[in-house]
Amino acid sequence: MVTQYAFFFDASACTGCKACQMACKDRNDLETGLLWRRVYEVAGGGWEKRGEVWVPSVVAYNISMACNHCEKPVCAFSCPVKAIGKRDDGIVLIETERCIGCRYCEWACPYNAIRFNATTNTVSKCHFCYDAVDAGEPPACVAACPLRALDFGDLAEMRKKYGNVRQLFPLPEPSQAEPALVIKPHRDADKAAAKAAEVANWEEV
Amino acid sequence: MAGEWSLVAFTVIGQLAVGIYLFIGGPLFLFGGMSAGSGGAGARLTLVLAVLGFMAAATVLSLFHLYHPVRAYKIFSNIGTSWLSREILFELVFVGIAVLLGFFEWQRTGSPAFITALFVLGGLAGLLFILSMSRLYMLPAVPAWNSPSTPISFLLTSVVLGAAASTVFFGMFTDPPPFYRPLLAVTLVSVVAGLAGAVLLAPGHGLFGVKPGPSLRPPGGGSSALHAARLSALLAGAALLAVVVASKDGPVLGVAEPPAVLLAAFFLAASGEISGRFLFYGLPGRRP
Repeated sequence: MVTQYAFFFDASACTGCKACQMACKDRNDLETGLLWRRVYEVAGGGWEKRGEVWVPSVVAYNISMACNHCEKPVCAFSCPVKAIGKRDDGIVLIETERCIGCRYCEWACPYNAIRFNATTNTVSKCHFCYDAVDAGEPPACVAACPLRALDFGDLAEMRKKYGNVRQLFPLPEPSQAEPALVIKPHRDADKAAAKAAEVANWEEV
Repeated sequence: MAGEWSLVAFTVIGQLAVGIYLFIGGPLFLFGGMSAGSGGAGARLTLVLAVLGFMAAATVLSLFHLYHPVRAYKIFSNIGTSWLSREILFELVFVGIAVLLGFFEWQRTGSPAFITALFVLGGLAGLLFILSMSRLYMLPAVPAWNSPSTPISFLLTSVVLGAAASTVFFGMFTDPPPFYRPLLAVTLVSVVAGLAGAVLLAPGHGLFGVKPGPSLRPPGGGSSALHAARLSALLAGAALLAVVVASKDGPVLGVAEPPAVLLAAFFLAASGEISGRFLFYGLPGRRP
């Protein structure tokens, strides 16, 4: 029995095509501007002089990020009306009919995963396509990725299969919420902070 | 940050209410109060009604930041982990004690020791209200807020506005109480402390200034215009108070009696605190 569902993301494989983002929007019929899964483009660096030669020192990679259904869901801890709860399988869900729309959970989430839905006037986020998962199907984002850069399953299995990395630049310190996330980092990720990399597509995410 | 106007109103007015409770109520309930002959007979009841009025205004304005205010009756569901639930709990305790104080004052009943104890309990509830209010913003996900500068600045707002309002309150009486001149000096020190706090705790370069760490949150950052407005208003308020403190009993600056000048000083201090609070809410980036 699954005790904590988790996402796996392979940053070394992601091309930034945003198929995951669009599959999520399509399946959940999200209005314009509302994204539960987002693809961040991380870019930095430039040109470096080595001896007499200028060489490119660009770092560039993509991060596909949704709610990480954290083991320590700080969004749920901050919610004054207990509108955010965690299922036995670890999926964190928002009870829309209970949400008062105070939006404190948006500030509390380190992954910026909680998004305001102007249609319902409540907060919203990735629900792991729990109905599909309950029926034995993968979440829409996982199914749509043409590079198989996304996977899902029990957190313990994901760690056994892919390792124990939970952070790459510019993701926050994982101890803040203990995300149910396993990452295969891009080769540039280690150099990103030193190269002053930053998210290059804020308008899109 | 303009979208957070209702939170600015709630926090500043709530802190003002606690400030006047302590700065006006302290002399009235703990240190002998005022004689009836000087117009102070109803001073305690006036204070309690003012506190309740400000708290009612703060509560009503706070509802404007909720998209479903009719569901807010469930706000105490998560006392165990939510600082927002705790903040409203302490707010209710503070208001409840103020209502009781008002009732006993109106009925002219209750022993002095009981009234004093009730006032002290109310003061503690008010301080817990402000501390829980600041604690709910101390989120690891928002480094700009997650420092001692948040509770210090919230308490300073209460001190600055409470002290400034107390000089206006006591100045309105025909025969100001004996502690009036020392209170003016305390108020000047409070506003100067607020000004020093605004400089020392300034986001970005203050004592607890933090550089934004790795984050998936869009860039925020404060507005330098708001910071300048905050400092200017507090400085002007402190200057007016300094003139009043330095003058003797006559008209101040030759244009107004002290109550009018003190009212101006209060509004300048309030403008500074409101600018500072808009600056605070603008620090983290958030999508509209």
